[in-house]
Amino acid sequence: MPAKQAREQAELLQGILDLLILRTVEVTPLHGWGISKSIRRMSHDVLTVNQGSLYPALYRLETAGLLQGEWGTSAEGRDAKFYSLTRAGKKRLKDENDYWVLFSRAVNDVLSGG
Amino acid sequence: MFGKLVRQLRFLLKRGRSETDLEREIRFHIEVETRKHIDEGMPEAEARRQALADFGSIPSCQETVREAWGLRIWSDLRRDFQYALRTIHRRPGFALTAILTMAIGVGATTAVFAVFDRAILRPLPFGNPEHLVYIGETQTAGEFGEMAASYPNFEDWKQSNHTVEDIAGFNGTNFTVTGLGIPFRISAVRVTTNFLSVLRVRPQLGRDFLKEEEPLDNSRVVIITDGFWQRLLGARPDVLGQTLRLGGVPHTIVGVLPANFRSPFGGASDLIVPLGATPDQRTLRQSHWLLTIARLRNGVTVREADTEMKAIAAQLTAEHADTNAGTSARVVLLQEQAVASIRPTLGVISGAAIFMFCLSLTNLANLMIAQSATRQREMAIRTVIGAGTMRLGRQLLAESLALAAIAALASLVVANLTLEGMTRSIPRLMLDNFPSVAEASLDARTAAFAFLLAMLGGLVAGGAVVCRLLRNPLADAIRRDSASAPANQRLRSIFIVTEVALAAALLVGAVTMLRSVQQLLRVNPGFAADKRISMNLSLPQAAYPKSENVATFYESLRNRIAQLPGVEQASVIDELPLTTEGSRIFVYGYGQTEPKSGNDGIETVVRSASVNYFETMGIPLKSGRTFTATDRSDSTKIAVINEMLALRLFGKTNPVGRRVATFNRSVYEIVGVVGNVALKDLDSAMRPTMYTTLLQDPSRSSLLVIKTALDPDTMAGAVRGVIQQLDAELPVYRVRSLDETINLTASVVTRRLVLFLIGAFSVVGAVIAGVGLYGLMSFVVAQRSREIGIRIALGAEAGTVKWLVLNHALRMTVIGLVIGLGLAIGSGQLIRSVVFGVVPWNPTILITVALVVAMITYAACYAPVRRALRFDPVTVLRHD
Repeated sequence: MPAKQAREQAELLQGILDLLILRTVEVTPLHGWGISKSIRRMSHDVLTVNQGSLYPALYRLETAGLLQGEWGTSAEGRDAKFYSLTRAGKKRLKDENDYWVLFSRAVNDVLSGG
Repeated sequence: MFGKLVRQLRFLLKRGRSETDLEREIRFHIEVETRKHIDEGMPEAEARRQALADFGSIPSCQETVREAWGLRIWSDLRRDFQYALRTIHRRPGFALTAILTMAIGVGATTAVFAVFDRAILRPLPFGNPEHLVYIGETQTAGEFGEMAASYPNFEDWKQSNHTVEDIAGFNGTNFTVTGLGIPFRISAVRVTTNFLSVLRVRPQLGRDFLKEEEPLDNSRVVIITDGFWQRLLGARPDVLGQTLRLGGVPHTIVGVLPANFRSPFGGASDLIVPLGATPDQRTLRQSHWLLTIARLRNGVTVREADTEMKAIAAQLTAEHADTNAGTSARVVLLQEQAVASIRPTLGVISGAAIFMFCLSLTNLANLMIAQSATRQREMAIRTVIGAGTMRLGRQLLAESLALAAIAALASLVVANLTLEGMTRSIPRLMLDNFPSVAEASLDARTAAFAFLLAMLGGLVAGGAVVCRLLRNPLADAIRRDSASAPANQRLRSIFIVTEVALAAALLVGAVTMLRSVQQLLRVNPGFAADKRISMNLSLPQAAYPKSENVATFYESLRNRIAQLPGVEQASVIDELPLTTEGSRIFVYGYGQTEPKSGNDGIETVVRSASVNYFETMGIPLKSGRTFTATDRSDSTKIAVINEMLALRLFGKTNPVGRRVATFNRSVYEIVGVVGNVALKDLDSAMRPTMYTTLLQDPSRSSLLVIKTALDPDTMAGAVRGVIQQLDAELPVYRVRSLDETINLTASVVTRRLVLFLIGAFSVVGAVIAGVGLYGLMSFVVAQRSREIGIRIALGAEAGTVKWLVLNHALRMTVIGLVIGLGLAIGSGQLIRSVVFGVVPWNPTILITVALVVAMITYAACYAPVRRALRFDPVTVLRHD
């Protein structure tokens, strides 16, 4: 199996997906489709989000009070649900981000032989 | 944490909306995706298919989202119950048995609860009933115990207490109503004018009594009950101000009581009138006739009121030693006093109901374990393919709860039947004495009780099975022919032992009650009941103002009745035996002792009897003579006394010709001694009794007692004909045979009620235990078919094979029987208050029950043993 395809199809770990979602809606409220495209675009087509995981994750984050969903009109002129960060979401994003930076640097250090 | 809960709850509440939100969101996603593909040059259909394929499984996505909401448990539950119902549907035989036994247990318990609820749990229909108390007078020594209050004592209590707001007095009475068609008798309550205000009851129409309406001679007012108003006056709104003739005296209707009104101690009553005490009743401190109720002041406890009333009573004893020596007072919550007589009965039937419920619960668990044996493999397979242990447990619980829910519905039918049976086991004439049984019915409260009880049962039975089954389903299933069976079998054996024990205990109760009723009816009441009938008469004061008028009327009536064809003997008495003890006075041997107070001497029941009374009733004359027509009112006062009074007053010497006196110096010459008669009930003690002659001491309200071979109704018709000629306005009522009177005594009726319930419970319980035993034995025989087959092949005789099966069954039933008999003897204290002339640990009873259980065991094992004997070794061995 080619490496690229494996990566594409690999399911993102839940914690990472959450982090990515929180990051994408940090700048501007986005709807589900927008979030999925945004992640793909920002990762330069490396990361794709499985829709079957995206929506559950959105609802989980909403239930947890990190995201807030609101119905609005999309650029295409349709009704869409836009997600934005709540205050708790902002805090969580910062924490997760700090942790991720620490974690990825550590992993990189190990991989590059210290 | 809390915020999360609130959010989840909010989602749950607007779940419908969230579901559509999700759907819209997914639709939007797919549309945008489709549009993008079209923009990239795909044909529309192709673009849509691509978008859908990219999205993946929509239901799975929805499911995961729901899980994310934390709401999955709800849809899971629904699925569990749907699955449970399918499982139940697949096994109709099992389901029907389980539901039926559960319904019987829950229904029986619910019926008893309905009665319990009426009697104990529901507040009396008065304002703030928790502040209402009953005040009774008590004898610190003496055999009669509790008494009604005397009017002067009541007045003094009222004046000198600080713990109650007000005290009201009342007394039951009867009236003849004339002017509304045929004259008829009604029951009434005479009350002090503050009666309704103490109870905090307001008339639904009209007004309460006024204070000045209390005395006898100027009060001509009446407040009628809602029932009387509806039944006899057509609920006309203009009844106020109308006249009602009570005992020949016109009374003005001033009010109508609310529909839920009842007399403080239950029982029927049609109207209330002001007390109207006679001067004697008002002034005699030794005359105890007034029932008193009071309302506690705010913040005062029953105990405080009791202490104060006792102190006041002691004070009164000091002031009025002649009348109050040896008496005290007692304050008790009205509700408690109202149910005091039925409380022991309630205790017994509640106990029986609990046994019945436990029995059906055990049976449900037993059935479910038996079922689960056949499902062990299913469970194991489901475990293997990944169903969580929790998941399986939930499923089993859902199944037992679904069964319980259906059983709860069915139990309402059982409860209704039980209540109907209970009501029917009480003679119609006695129903008023059992208001909590008569009024008990199924309503929201009792239905909720049934539902909760059934659910509790389902939870316990299901829980037991879950614990058992989930311990290690996989291992059990793999070693399925050896390991799982014994464990289940042991548990089922324990269940069977429990069922047999409970059924045996119920059987002991039933046989004990049966024997009690038999013993009771075998009690010699001191008179002969067969061929005797009685009917009530009451002469109104207005038409018969003097006692001479009363005596003359009754004597001429008696003479005329005696002439009627078919009449062997006729007589008149003021109170029948086996009804009430009635009024009592203290008497002493005249010239023997000088009484220091009204409570000195022998407390004696006084009856007023006509000529021929003892002959009519078959009461044996022990010495001297009975009354004759020549004993005139102006000659020396005479009396006939019973043996008990003769013995107390004069020992072994012959009392005929000697004299007795009462404290107020009435002196009677004793002309004869008669046998003792049970005055109140078959199970109450005989009392010292003195009979005075009706010619000298007549009573307005009396009964005709006739010895005749004719049936009561024919006789009553003839009597009415005679009375019509003497006084057309006089009703004859409560016509019944003396046999009926015996059957109507509280002792017999109460025990018949208990007998009905325990009897029904024990029969059903025995059947359930028997069926349970049969099921287990069939299973055991099937399990051991190989072993039995080999034994038969090796030449075992029929007896050996039989013993193989019976041995197991007998071990269980003997253990169950021993526990059950122990249980019955242990609860003997509970049942002792309602048994009569027999103890539950009577060997005959225990042996009878042992035999019944042995018969059940035999019946239950019959078919399994037959099956075992018919095993063909070849078939059995090849089969495995």
